[in-house]
Formats: sequence, structure tokens, C-alpha cells
Amino acid sequence: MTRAILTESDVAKLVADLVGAGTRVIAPVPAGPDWEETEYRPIERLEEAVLDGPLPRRSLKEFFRPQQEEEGSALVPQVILGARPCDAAGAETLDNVMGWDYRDELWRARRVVTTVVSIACRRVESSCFCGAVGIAPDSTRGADAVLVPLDLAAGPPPSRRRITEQLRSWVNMFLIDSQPFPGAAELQAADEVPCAQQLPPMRWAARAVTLKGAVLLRGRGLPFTDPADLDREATVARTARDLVAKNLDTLRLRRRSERLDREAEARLGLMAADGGELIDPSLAFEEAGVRRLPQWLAQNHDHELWKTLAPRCRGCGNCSAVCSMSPCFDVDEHEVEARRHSAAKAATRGGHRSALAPHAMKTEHFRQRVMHKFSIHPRRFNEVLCTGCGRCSRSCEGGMNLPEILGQLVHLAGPEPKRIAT
Amino acid sequence: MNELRELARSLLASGTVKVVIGYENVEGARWPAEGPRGVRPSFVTDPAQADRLVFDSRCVQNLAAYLNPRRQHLVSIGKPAVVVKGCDARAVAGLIREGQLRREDVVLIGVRCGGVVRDPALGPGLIEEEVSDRCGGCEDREPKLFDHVVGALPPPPPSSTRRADALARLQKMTAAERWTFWKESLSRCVRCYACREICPMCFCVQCIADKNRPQWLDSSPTTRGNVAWHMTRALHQAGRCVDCLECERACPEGIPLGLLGRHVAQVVERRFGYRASADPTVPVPLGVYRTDDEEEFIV
Repeated sequence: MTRAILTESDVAKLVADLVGAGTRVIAPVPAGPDWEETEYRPIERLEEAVLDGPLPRRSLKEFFRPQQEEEGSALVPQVILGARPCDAAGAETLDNVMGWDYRDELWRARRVVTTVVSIACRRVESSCFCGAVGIAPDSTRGADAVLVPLDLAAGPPPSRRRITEQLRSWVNMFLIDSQPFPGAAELQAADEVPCAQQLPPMRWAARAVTLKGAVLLRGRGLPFTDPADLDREATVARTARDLVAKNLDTLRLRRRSERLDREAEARLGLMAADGGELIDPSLAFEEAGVRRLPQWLAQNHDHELWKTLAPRCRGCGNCSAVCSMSPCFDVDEHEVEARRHSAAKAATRGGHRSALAPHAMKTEHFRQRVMHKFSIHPRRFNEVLCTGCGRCSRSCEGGMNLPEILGQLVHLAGPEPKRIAT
Repeated sequence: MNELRELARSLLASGTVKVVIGYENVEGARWPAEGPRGVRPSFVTDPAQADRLVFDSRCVQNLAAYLNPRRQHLVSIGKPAVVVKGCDARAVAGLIREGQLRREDVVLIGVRCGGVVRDPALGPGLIEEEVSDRCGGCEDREPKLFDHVVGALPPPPPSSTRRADALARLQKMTAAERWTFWKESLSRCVRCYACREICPMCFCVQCIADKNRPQWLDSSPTTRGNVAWHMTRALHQAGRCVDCLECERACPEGIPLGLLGRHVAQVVERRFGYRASADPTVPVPLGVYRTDDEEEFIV
């Protein structure tokens, strides 16, 4: 396994080399009306990116399945730098669907030419619940290489220089008159001070997970020699995991935090069937929350709960649009091939291009969303169709909150049938 | 707040309504305190739960959208009472005016309003940067369409000219510049139709965007199709749009749909002397035929 310590300049050089070689480098960049959000976009230089900002607005799926493309257009090799671990895992989970009854060559080709470098989360949002679905802020699933920040302190804020540039170009493009925008003077002043002087350079512990990742990292950075760095790496990962665990406790998605007795441990799947510990007990522990859902959901299609959950849903479909795992799309071939992210909407509105509206009411539509993620897909592929990124909760105009609902469902489903510990 | 809760409790207890649609704190629903959404729509069916209801400057959502008849699962709960701000009442009036809702099928709890924030996660205090664009120059802070009205009239919100300025800039542009602006904005659209689904006034059983025999609009997210969709929607909303800005808030791409709606509303006001009002008896220009309509822009 390739391991190295990368500094900011190493990463900057990596970006420059890749861009120079014609590779598309995608990273989170400032976005949103106040530049407080980020989204994945192609970059030319590292300075454009915010590797340590909030969760990007949308997931990575558009880079594997663009909403439109011209037939026969050439594939460009791409590197996704600074993917969130949940987004990296999401792409891998979708591989199952995209290669299942129909092998989607366009998806597959893009997966092959893409290298995903994820960065372990230091910031955990209040809507993050990855721990409940078997992913952690430092998961390597779906990533070709993983960078773990070596400092706990909050990273550089979205580059003010970048923000100024963006604002200026925006002002020039749209708002033709030359009135200074609010805050222009302060930004101008901040511009005078080089960013490097304000903040110490970032360092990351880099680890290749796949061959693609190893090729990307080969010969970069310094060897991993200082044992203190190992500690730092572990501390960052543990701190983020604890934050997620705190979210889960608030949402009652995690049953207990104290040490359990042997019987309870066996019941929650903390121990392997032979009495030994599982390889990664923390993951199995939290995953236990949703483990019983596939079966319970399948048996409780008509549960009263559905009626009480759905009213506030306004059917805007934002949850599907931002979902890193929603595999549904409409196909429309018309000069360009377009695959619009979509979900079958309730029949009270035509919805789907196929004129298929399988759900008569919003209640059924919402139930289908939960069923698909936590019952139908897991029963076929043995993994839940959710990475716990929390985007659906954040984008919901009606205030639907998937982790909260999961908490209720887990509570209803009760504990797993007792396993016999030998 | 107590007045609102008492009223909700008595309406539910007396059986006048089966559900009260209002706002609740998200914290109350076990979301971490720093959660992203401060308030959310609440559906209270049990009088004992009436204490969940809140109303303050964070309550930006337009709950009249839940009266839209295509929300069949809500119709099945029974007669609703809805908490409406003065501006939301315009949407209720719109639904009644266009035959989507009978006045007697809903109990309206009007709330006196001191302005709301742009996003329910902001606030609760109101500052100029955070006040919703629709609150500028509001004339409906005192509800005009209601069965019950609660609360004292709070002071007016800080005045914000953000949208008026942006609109004025747009209107000053040449057609080519404006086209660049809208092409750029609308090319981001992913055609998720959140704007339509969330709109209280979008109630067509079959939307033109979903028709494929014949197919009127290019349904893929190309700039051409996007422009066609948003122009069609803006024109269909002419005079009907109640300026609640739900579409702008729901848009995952941050397209300034409010500017489009506001501009069309200004044109309607100028040409037809009509402004979306809370009076369901005043017909909307798009819904009446008058021989003296100005039509020099058509013929």
C-alpha cells in the first residue's frame, strides 16, 4: 500500500501535472449566493478548490452520468480530488445497479477513466448520518486514494481571493453597472494579504487504495516516517466519527454508547458469530441500526406510520435530485442523449416520461423512496442504497428528515432476533 | 403564540377541523440544535399536540400549497385549518378563484406578520440581509382573507431593496445582455420540476412539460428546453403568481426564478391594472375574456 505525507504544494503540483496532461480535475469550489457552499466543478489550479469546506451541494453522480452528452463524444480522463467519502462510496454502490440487468457502458467507461481521491471529513454537518448506514467519515469505499488531514484545527476558509474573483466576474457578467457590491472594500483589503501568510499549509496522510490510486500518488510527497503523524491521522478520523456518533445519538439511530453485555453485543452484531470481534467493530455497531429494516419494511408495507410521515412532503423531488444514490433517470434522445435525474412522481402529476406513475398518492411515493433504499435494494444487493450524506434532509422544503424517520423505523423494527453466541 | 395554540386546540377539539397545518420547530423533532432548517410544516391532528405550533419570522414557507387539490393524501385526512400569512392568503384566494378549493372547505388562521427570513434556517431575528425578497413593500402584513386572526401586528421588517435593485438592473439591460443573463441562469436548470411541484398555483392535472403526444417542450435539460420550460411557466403564471418565492427556494440550482415572476407580475399590473390579491372574487386577467383587452402586441 502506497503511503505518503502530502503538503499543499505537493497537491498543487499534482493538480498542475494532471491538468497539464489533459486530465479533467474536479474538486469542490465555492458556490451559492453567499459563497458559503461548495460544489464539485472542474478546476485548473488548486487555489480554486476548497478541500475542507462544507459538503458539496450535489454528489458526484453527474460526473459519471452527465445529464446530457453527445453521442460518441470522447471520454476525458478525470480525477476527482477531495471527494467526500460518502460520495466516493455512493458511486461504487451504484455500480451494482448500472451493471445489473443491463450493463450501462457509458457509466462503466466513465468509472474506468475516473480516479477518485477522497479526503476524510474533518467537518461533520449536523445532518450527517453515515455511521448509521455502515460508512464512516474516513471510509475508503469507492475511493482510489484517501487523504486524511493531519490537523484537527479547522482548515482554510473558502479562499477569499477566489471569492473576490468570482464575485467580480459575476458582477462584470450580469450586473453591468459598476456599483461596488456589498463587502467589496473588505474583500479588497483581504486580497492584499497573501493567503499563505495567514494560514499554515495543509498536510495530509495519503494512502492509495487501488492500483489507480497508487499510480496517481507514485513518487509524490514525503515518506510516512514520523510516528506522531500516525497519531494525528487517527485522531482526526476518530474525532469525525465521534461527531457522527453524536448526530446518531441525537437522532436515536444508535442504540447505546456504553459498553454492552455479551448477549447484547451478540444481538447488535458487535461480535462475529464465533465470539471474536468483527474487523471493524465501530462500523458493525452502527450499521446494526438499519440491519433489520429490509425485512421489517417488506412485511410492513401498509403500516400506519406511512400515513403520518408523508403529509409534509411537497413532492418537489429535491431529495432525489441531490441524492448521491438515486439511480433513476429519464432517457431522452434528441440531438444529444440526455439522461435527466428523475424519480417517478405521484400520479397526481404526470411525472415520469414513460407516462408511468406507479404511485397514486404522495404517501405511497414517499414509502417507495424508503423501501427502495432500505428494503428493495438491500434484499437484492445486500447493501443499503444510502450513504448518509444528509443532502435530502438539507434540501427538503417540507422538512422531511430521513435520519429522523429511520430512527422511528429502527425503533419500530425492534432488535434483531437473538443470535446464539458460542 | 399561545393564542395560535389555543385556537388550534379548540378547532381540533370541537371537531371543526381534522388537521391544523402550521409551523413547528425542527429542534422539537430531535434535530440537532444547529440543524439546517429552523422551522418546518407541521400537521397537528391531536389537540394535545397543538403546543408544537409556532409562528415567528422564520416561518417563510407558504402553507397554502398544501391546499392544492392534487395533494390527495391530505384531502383524505379531512378538513384542514391552515396558518396563513397575508401573502400566503393570496395563494388561497387564487385556488378559490380558479375553482380548485371551496372557501367552506378550509379554515384560515390568519397571522399578523412582521416579515420573514429568506430561509427558515436563518433568524429568528430579522436583519436587512436576511429578510425575504418578497417582504419589501408588503401591503398584506395584516391578513385580509381569514376566518380567525391571531397575534399582534409586529413592527415592519427592515426594508430591503435587493430584489428591486436587481430587477431594475435587469430591466435597464439591452435585450442581448438580458438574454445572456437568462441563458446563463437557465442553462443550469436540471429539469427536476421542483419549481412546479412546490408551487401553490401549479395544479394542472397534466403539465405541458409532461406531455409527449405531441411533445411541446424539449424535456431534456438543454438550454433550449430549459428556456422554453421557464418561459412557458412564467407566462402561465402571469397574474396568477402570488410571489411566495417557493420556487426560488426549492430550486436546487439557485436560479433566480423570483425575478422572472416579479417582472411578469409588473407587466400584468401595468397592462391590465391587476395585482394578485387576497380577494377571490376579483378575476385574474388570464382567466377572463374582455373585448377591451389591449392586444396590440398580438395583432
